[in-house]
Amino acid sequence: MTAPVEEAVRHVLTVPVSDEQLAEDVAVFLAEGLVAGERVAYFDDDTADLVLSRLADDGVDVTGPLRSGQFQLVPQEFTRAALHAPIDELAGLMEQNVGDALGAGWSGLRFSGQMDHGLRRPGGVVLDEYDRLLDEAVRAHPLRALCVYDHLRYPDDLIATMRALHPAEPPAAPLHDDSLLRITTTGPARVRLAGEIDHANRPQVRRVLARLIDKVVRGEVGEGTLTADLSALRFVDVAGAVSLVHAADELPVSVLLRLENLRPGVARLLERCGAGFAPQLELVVRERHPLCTADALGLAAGGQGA
Amino acid sequence: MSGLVHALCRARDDEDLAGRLSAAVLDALAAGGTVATLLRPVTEVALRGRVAGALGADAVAGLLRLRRDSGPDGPSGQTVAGLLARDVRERVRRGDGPVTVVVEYSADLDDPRGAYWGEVEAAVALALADLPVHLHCFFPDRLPAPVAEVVRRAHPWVRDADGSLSPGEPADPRRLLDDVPAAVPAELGAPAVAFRFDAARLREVRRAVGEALRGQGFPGSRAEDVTVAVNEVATNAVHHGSRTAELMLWTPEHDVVCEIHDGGRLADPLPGLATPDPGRAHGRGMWIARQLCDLLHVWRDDTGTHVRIRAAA
Repeated sequence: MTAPVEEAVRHVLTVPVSDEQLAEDVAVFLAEGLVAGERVAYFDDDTADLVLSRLADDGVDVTGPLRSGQFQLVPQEFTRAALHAPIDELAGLMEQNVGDALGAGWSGLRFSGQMDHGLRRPGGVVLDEYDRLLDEAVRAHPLRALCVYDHLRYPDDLIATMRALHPAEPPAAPLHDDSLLRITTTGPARVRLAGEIDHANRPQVRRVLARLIDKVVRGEVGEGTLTADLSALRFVDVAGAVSLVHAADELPVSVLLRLENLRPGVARLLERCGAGFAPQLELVVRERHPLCTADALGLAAGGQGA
Repeated sequence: MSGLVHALCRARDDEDLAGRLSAAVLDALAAGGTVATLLRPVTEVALRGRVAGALGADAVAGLLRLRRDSGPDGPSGQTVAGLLARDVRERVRRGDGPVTVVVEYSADLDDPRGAYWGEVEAAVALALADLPVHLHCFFPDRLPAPVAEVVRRAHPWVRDADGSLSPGEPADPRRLLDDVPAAVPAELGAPAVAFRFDAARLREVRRAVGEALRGQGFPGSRAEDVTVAVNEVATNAVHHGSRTAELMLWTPEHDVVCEIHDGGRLADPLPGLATPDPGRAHGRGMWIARQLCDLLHVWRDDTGTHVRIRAAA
C-alpha cells in the first residue's frame, strides 16, 4: 500500500517488484488526483490495461473523468514520441499542460506513465535529464508526478540513478510478492490479494494467511474477523480454493474469514470447492466493469465506449 | 438403496433383449423412479413402443435419452461416464427418486481388444459409485472373446432372466485398464500453439488457453471455467507426472481443444471420476475439470500420460 503523498513531496519514485505492485501504486496515485480535483494523465505503453483493471478493482469509476477530460489516457504512440522528442522542448510542454489543466478548472496536474521506450532512444538514454527537468517543473507549478521504474523493464543501474535523483519513495512492505501474487496489509485484520494463486505460490500464500489467521484467533487484531479483499485476485486454482475453505473450516467458532469483492469466477470456484458448507466463511461478490485501453481512449474521444 | 447397483444382463437375441429391457424399465417406472437410456436407435424404438403400450405416452416422454454419438474425438467411455454421473447427480439433488440407467452393447464401438468396454464400464463404476443408481448393462450372449472377458470382470452383479440379481466376479474397476488402456483419440493435425511448461509457467498455459477461448468467442464466465479445467490438468501433469509437460492447442470450428502430455504415469488410469472426499483436497482438481469440459479423455502409453480436453462453444 502506498503511503499518502505528503504535500511537500510531489515528485515521487516507485520501483515496483511486480506488475501487481505497479498497478497498485499507479492506481492509488491516479485515484488520489481524481478525488483532489486535479487533472490526471497516464502515459500508456502497454500497461494501461493493467492500471484500468486495477482502478476497477479498487472501485474507482473512470468513465466520468474520461468523458469530462479530467482523466487523460495518453496513447502509446504519443508516449513514445514524447520520449524521443528533443529534451529542450520538455519544459515548455509541461508548463503548457499545467496551464491547460488550470485553465479547464482543475486544481493542478498529476501524471504517471510507462516510460521504458526512453531506454531505446536513438542517441542514448536521457531519462535522468528528463527527470531533472521534471523536478524543476514540479517545484514551479501545481504538478505531481509518480515515476515508475520497475525491475521488470529497467536495468538495475538506471534504477540506482533514478533512486538518487528522487527525494522520496513510498514505502512498500508487502506481506508477500512473488510477481504472480501480491499480498498487502490494508488494516489491522485486513489484507488484499492481487494477482493469481496456483501451484507455484500456493504454499507461501497458505503460510502468510495462516500467520494472519493465527493473530486473529489469538485476539491480537480484528475482533474475530479476518477480511481479505480479493477484488484483484484474477485466478485461484482448485487446491488454492480448497485451502481457503479449509482455513475457514479450522477456525474456532467465534472467528470469521470474510472474502470480499470477489470476482464472480473466483466465487464460483470457491462454491464448487465447498464454500457453501463452511459456516465461518463469508463470501461477498462484486461485479466489476473494467475498461480496456481502446474503450477508455474511445470515451476520451467523445464516444460511448463498449 | 444408497449406492450403485451395476448389473450385467445377457440377452439371447433382439426379442429377448426387448423383453428384458422393457421389464426392467417398467419395474423402475412402477417404483416411482426415473429412467435414462443409452441404446441403439432400433432398441430405443422397441422400448418406447412397449412402454407406450403399458403406461401411455407420458411415460415415454419421461424417458431421458442420453447422447450416444462419440463426437469428433472418437469414443471416450470416461467422458460418457462423467456426463452420465453429472446428470444423475443433478436428478438426485432435485429429489427425483431412484434412477435407473439402461445401456446396451453396440458392435460399432468394438475394437479388437475390447478397450472401449473396459474403459466405459470401469468409468461408470467409479463415477456412479456413491449415487443411488441401478445400472443395467445389456450385452448379447455371444461377444468377441476380449470383450466377453472385460464384461465378465466389470460387473459386480448379474441380472437373471427373472429380474433377480446374483453376484458376479468383479475386479477393481481401475484394473480393467491394466492390459487394455483407454484408446488414443482421433488425430487432430498440427496444433495452432504448442509449448513445454513447468510449475513456474502455469500462468502461460492459462494465458494461451484464455486467448484461444476469447478468440473463439466463448463468453467470459465459460472461458474462466474452461481455463480452470485446463490449469488443473496442467498442474497435475507437472505435479504428479514429470517435471515438465507439453501443452498443445487447436481451435477447430467453434471449439477449443487442448492436449497436455507428460512423461509420468498416473497411479489412477481414470483420474477425476470418483466423487472426491469432501474432507480432502486430493483428487478434486481433476474431478472439477471433468465437470467443466465437454470432453476430458485420459490415456497412457509408453511415453507417459496424455489428456485431451474439448470445450464446445
